[in-house]
Amino acid sequence: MHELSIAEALIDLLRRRAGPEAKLVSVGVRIGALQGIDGSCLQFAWQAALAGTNWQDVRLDLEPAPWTLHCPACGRTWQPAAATADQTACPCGHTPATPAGGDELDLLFYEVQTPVASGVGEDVCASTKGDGP
Amino acid sequence: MKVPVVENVLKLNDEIARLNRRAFQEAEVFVVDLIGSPGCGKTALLEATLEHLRGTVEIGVLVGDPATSRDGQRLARRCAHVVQINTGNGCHLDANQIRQAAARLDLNRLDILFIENVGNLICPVSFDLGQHVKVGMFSVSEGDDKAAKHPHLLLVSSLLLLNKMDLLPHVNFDLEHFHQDVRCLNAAVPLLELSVKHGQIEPWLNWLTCQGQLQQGTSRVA
Repeated sequence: MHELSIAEALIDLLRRRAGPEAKLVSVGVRIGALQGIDGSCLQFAWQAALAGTNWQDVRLDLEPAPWTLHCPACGRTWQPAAATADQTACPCGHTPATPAGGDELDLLFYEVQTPVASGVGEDVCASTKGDGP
Repeated sequence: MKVPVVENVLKLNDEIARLNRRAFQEAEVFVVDLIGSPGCGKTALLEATLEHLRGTVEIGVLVGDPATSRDGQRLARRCAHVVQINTGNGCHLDANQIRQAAARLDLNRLDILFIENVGNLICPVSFDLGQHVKVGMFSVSEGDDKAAKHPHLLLVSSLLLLNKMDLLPHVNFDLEHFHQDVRCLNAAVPLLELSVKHGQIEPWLNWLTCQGQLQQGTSRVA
């Protein structure tokens, strides 16, 4: 249920980073498995929080980050299938392993419409989506 | 055009939490964020703690609930420094709510400030409030799988409490299984067994005393 708070915090961060009038196209966020965040709930909260605003059509791209463990005894690092207690034993016999990832909650990028040179008169919504920085 | 950022989504919360932490340190008040399910005994534990420590240390409580000031009223019978926070639809407390609520207390008069978080084992874990420690609280009537099902709480907690030990003979709760799950996730965290209803909270009081002394470097916490 904290997805709405997360969505609002994300919008706050973007207003500061990109500016409230920025013509956003999409936003990328990495979510660790330990954060207890449900992706579809966050999508819903994102849409609800932005409904009726200039950002209501901005796409939210979620990148899940798996729970990662490191065994201090044998040095093995692995990603268990689930973030649960019964997944923490290392095959070398050492228990427990130490967490080495999975608690991320990071804004990775935001994508803005590429400004079109004045006088071109083309669709100003064109973007260079997917070209990378 | 993609603009790479990589910044914690809760950066703003964390910045306010840092301000809170500085204010708590300057006032030399030890701050505990108490996290547990609805009904695990958080308010009862604080009531008993206030009774036991009356006259020895000055305690304040910020208590979060979605609605009503019932917990605040219960605690105010035993404590002069209580602020009830109603979160409405919110399932957790955030650093800004703590900042506003703490401003209503004279922190310099306090030795310990308890933050009783909204009853929930998931959402409060993600929000830094500026506390010194997060304490995770369970009770045997919730079932022995609750530690295993909430790994993030297990990983961030400095102390775990298991309450309602008096009910153990009457409920389905495998104590050994619970301990095993806890150790799998966090080998170092102390786990204290309490029966708040029967006043059996000595291990918790002892821990609190040690922590208060460690944090402040003084013996202000008797």
